[in-house]
Amino acid sequence: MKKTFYLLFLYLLAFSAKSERMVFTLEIKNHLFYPAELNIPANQKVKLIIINHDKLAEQFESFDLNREKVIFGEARTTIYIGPLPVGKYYYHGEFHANSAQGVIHVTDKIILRGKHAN
Amino acid sequence: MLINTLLIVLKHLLPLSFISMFYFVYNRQISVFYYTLKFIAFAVLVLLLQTMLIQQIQQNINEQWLELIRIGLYILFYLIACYLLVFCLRTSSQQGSRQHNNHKTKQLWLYLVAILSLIYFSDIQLYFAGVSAQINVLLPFSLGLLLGSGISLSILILGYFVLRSHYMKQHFYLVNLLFLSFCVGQLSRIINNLVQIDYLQSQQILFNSNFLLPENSELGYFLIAFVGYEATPTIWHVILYTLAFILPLIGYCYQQQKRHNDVSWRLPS
Repeated sequence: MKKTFYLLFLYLLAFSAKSERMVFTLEIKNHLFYPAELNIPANQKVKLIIINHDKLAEQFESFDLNREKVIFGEARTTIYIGPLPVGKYYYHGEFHANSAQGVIHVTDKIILRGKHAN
Repeated sequence: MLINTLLIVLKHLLPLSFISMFYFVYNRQISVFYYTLKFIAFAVLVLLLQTMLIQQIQQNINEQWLELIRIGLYILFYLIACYLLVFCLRTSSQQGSRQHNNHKTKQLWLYLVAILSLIYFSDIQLYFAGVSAQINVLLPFSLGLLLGSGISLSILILGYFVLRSHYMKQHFYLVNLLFLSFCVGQLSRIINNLVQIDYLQSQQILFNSNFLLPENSELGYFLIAFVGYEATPTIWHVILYTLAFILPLIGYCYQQQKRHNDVSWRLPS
């Protein structure tokens, strides 16, 4: 029984291993996302770092991506998105939905600049 | 601001309305007044504690740990609800009302309220803190808050009368099934949280029902809060839903079998 649990644990650990992922960054300033349009590669899981430069918290939400995360004021958070097929995926800041809006373009071609992809 | 506040308030108050609705359906007695006060006091206490501790939480607890704590709370909520369903709530007319009106059962209901309050008040409190810093939006914010609270309260009252009528007609299985659906819906939120922090591998979407019932529609919001509606489910959602429905049923059958064996042992041959 113990052996079974140990093997199951190892399996789950391997299954969820965080391999090297492309990193993208979104910034929130004055309740706006920068960049408002982000390109990420198709069919790959990517790491998205969201940096909130405002003093107030914001909630990153996207029905298309099935993601919802609160970012405290002057803090950062990390979420993983993908793998996604080619298309457009909209997101918004729930606490300031009128201004904080953006779209993620999932494309086949991404140009890399240095360590971070954007 | 008004519409935004209304949607945020609805999103966070609806689950609390539903748990309150089930609580009042199952616990309608004179003595429930005392527990109702405790019920409300628990929720308000949690809100106040979070308001006071939010800075310390932000500075001292890693954001990934916060996600894991949230996931743990959803799981704890589901486990307590399962315990209630299997051991405490009424499932047949033969069972006496003593079983589901004792002190332990009412304490468990309060724990359920406390857990959901912790989860949902944490986000809404951040939103309130942000709005309170802006004087020019206080009026639309207040209106949105009033409207959202009013709609949640209306749903609570309407749902209470509908479910209570079924409960009085001894349709216990229907009420219990709806309660289980609500609890499974809350548990299902852990899937997206786990995928989001890369603790669970993403899987392909099985189907997309947004064309039938969009998640960001009014009915979509309602169903998300009530049964954890997911327009783009993955295999993880299917597995979790299935297991989360089956396990309490197995527990209930085992409990019934054990009760039947105890009774037959006591009966003279």
